[in-house]
Amino acid sequence: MDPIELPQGTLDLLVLRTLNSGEMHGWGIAQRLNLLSKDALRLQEGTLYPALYRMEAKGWITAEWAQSENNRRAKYYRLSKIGRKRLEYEKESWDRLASVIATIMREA
Amino acid sequence: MNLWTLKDWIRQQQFRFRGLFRKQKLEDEMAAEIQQHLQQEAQFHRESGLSPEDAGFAAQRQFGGIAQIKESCRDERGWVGLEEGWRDLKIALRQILKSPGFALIALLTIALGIGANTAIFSLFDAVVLRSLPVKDPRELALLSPGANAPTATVGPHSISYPLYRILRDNPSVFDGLLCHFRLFANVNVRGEIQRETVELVSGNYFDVLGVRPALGRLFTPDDDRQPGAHPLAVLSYDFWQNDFAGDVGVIGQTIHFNGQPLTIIGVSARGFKGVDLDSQPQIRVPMMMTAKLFPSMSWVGLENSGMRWVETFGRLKRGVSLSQAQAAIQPLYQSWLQSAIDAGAFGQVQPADKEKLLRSSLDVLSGAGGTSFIRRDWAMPLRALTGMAGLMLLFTCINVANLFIGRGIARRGEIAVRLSLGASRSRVVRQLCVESVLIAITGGIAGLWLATLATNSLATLLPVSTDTTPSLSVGLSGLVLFVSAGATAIVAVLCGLLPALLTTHVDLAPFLHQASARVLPRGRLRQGLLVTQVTLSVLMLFGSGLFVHSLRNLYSVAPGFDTNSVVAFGIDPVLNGDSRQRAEQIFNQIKERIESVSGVESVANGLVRLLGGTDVWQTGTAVDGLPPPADGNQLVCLNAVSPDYFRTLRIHFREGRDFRATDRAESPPVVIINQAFAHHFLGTVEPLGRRIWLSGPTGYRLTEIVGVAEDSHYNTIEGSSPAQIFVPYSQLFTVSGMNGYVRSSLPIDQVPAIIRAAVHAVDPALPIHALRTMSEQRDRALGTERVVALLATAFGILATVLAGIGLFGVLNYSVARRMPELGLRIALGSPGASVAWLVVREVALLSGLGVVIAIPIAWSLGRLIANQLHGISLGDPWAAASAALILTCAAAMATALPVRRALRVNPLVALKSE
Repeated sequence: MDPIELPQGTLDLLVLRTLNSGEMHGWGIAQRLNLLSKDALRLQEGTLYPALYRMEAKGWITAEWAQSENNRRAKYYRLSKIGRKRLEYEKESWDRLASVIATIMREA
Repeated sequence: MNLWTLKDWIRQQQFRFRGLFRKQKLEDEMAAEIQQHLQQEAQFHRESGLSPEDAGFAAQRQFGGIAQIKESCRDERGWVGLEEGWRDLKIALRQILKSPGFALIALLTIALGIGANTAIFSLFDAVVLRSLPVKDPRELALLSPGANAPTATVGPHSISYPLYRILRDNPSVFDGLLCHFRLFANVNVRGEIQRETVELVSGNYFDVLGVRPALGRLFTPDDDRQPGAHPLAVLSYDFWQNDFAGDVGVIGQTIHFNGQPLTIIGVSARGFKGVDLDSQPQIRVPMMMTAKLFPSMSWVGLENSGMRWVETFGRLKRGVSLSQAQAAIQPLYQSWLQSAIDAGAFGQVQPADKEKLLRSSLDVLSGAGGTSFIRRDWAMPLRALTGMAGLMLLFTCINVANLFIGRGIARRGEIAVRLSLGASRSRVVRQLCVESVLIAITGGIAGLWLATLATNSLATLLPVSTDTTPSLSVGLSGLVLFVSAGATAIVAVLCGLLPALLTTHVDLAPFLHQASARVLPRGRLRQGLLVTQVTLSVLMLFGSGLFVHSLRNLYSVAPGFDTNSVVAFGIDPVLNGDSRQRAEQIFNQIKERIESVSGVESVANGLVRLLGGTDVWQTGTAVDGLPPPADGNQLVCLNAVSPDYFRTLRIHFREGRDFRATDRAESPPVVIINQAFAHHFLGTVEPLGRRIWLSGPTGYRLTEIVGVAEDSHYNTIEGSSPAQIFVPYSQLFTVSGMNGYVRSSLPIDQVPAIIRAAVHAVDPALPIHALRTMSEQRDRALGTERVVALLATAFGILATVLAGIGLFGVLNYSVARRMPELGLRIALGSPGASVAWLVVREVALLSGLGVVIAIPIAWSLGRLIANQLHGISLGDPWAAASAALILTCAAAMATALPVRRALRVNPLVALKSE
């Protein structure tokens, strides 16, 4: 099966969800997304960064430079309080959208 | 959700703002982060068995375009537009400082253009556009009798008081109607008697206008019920501030007004100056006090339906239009006219005249701007001047655009390099525009500053024929600021965008191959602009020439009396409570005192000030036993004069006698007529001994013609002498007021002091007004023409200077363009004259073309303003020829420098630069 193109705006949700389980650097987020999606997403890893910067600017996530596991300095991202609320909200509306679409697809 | 988005946005802006100050750090961090990502990715691939080289490629493939990703990261994080704008601004500033001369010329040109526009427009705004500072001025309507209305009137919009009363009591389409009448009074302010502009107002005056008190209370309808029973006064805010030092204790105080005590009940709101732009009434008194405070105004009267004198404003009910209101009040007006005619209010009315009267209408005009003679006189000239200022702005644009195009072309090499290095055209255009916008805005601000300087003096130049202080506030209103900002924006766009688009539209190759001037284009557009500029310049010079010429003609008009050695002064003892007889005695005592000074020849008195503009006394008349004049015009100008009047003013007699001291109020009424009257009313009939109908103390009576004087001007210099009647001052029974005329052989500047001393010695409580020489009086009478000529000349000069700068710019550019060619010619031994001609030829041809185009246009435009010009036939080549001549001189001056530069071209240098 061909990899899936992410619909507009869903990348933010996925990144927020990924960060929900703890702080992570950019490459880590990319790996985790690839792992969880079983490589089904065609993710240009670079596109993560504008999304990260955007959410940082909006205050959804915070960033900090820290020592990585292999002793290199890396920029770690972490969900902020606003980001956590945002994630809940986005998840809820995503679930609603998904169920609506599913219902229509099933019953139309 | 929306609130969330907004909060996000605000946080984003804060983040970006902070980013401005640690740009380099963020940039480094971003690079490090991405580098880190790529390394980890590559390591991952190596671990899964790829060669280090392939692993690196795989990581980059996985990541995507690094430069693009960085760019979109920057977009997320910073204010890209702002940063670029700041960079553009810095570059622009550097460019401007590199050629300060260019920037200065451009800036000055814009400042002059914007300044002229703003100054004239703020005058136009104050005189023509501005609404009264009252509640909802758009709802105000001015009631004005149309054509065929009863002729006995004081002003163009006046109606009689009984008509006002009927309208007020049947308001139908109005929420209320006020009436007012402006005049002068002698007011005793803390012991000193001053002549003040005052206003009789209806009780609902302030209610209808929606004006609030600044202190105390204002009139109500209950303050205006019984004739003579309301001795109350409301002060204007300015009068309270200036003459009572803003003392809150004035309420309840007494002031003496024409000798009568009045109680001050309040002060009207700050900024409210009345409904008449020509004056600022200082004190307002109830209409019902007219007879009590102004006994000499028996000729108007609150019960006299035949005399139109009060001015009426109504506040329209919501949603009622002017035309609806006009239609609604006509039946009321017609029935009032019918009953007034039946009651004999207009005297004996012939059936034909009755028909005409009954067909007349009461018009409802917009009252938002109040009434004004200044506006009536200035609306047209100001429109013309605003048009001229608009032309000046166009000039400014053309000039500055020309300068920018010239410079843009000089910078084509640089621009070509930037374009070829990959700068987008829009980026380069934007950068060029920043420069012109910067200059335009600075010029605009400088122009505003110039305008404030100009408007202050312009406002004082505006002539006031009513001898009152106008309530115009000339200044930078919101509208004025808006218009000049708009003008600046237009200048910025025309001067910046157009040249920028032109100069960036280049074929790159030739510029990169050779930085030669030979490939510079000739510039059809610039030539077109230059021709336009010369044409407009000639037009403006022509226009100003016409105005100046017309003014000169007006000054050479002999008014029929001597203006050179006569000084005039105004007094009004009747306003101090003196009787008419006593007033005449006072005048005679003053006369004796002044005449006793050696050098003074004679002193005389006249009711109407000569060349006094709106100071006019007119009435209809007929000669006993003769049919009315063929053209049906029975209106004549009157004046009441003392013996020696004609001698003092040097008005010559044709036949008959002057008035004598024996022509008293009780002796048989006599008049002196002028030649125009004799010609118009009598034709070839012998005037002496004939009798004419004039109104007397008890209705119309016959008065005998005892003399005929030569023609003289009455209230204006323009036109010819009207038909005039002079009555002895002693036989005057209505209005009061005296204008003394002093003829002397003394230096004219010594006379005013003599007059002041004499008046003060006879009656220290008598205020003097309008004390000025008769030549000053003539200057005032020609005030409009003088200001128009002055402004038109200023514009003409400005336009010529701008055209000169334009020509200079074009010529200078063309010398630069042809430098190698000129060098070659000089090297080959071409004589200086032919080189100079080569340079000048283009400009000479272009300006010649401009002049040729201008002349027929000037001729047809001249017809448009012909009715404002005095004694000028448009066939007269004077104005056109001098306009062309002045422009030729300007062009010659503009060419001098570039020609010199051309003649000094060093052939070696010029040829080497190839």
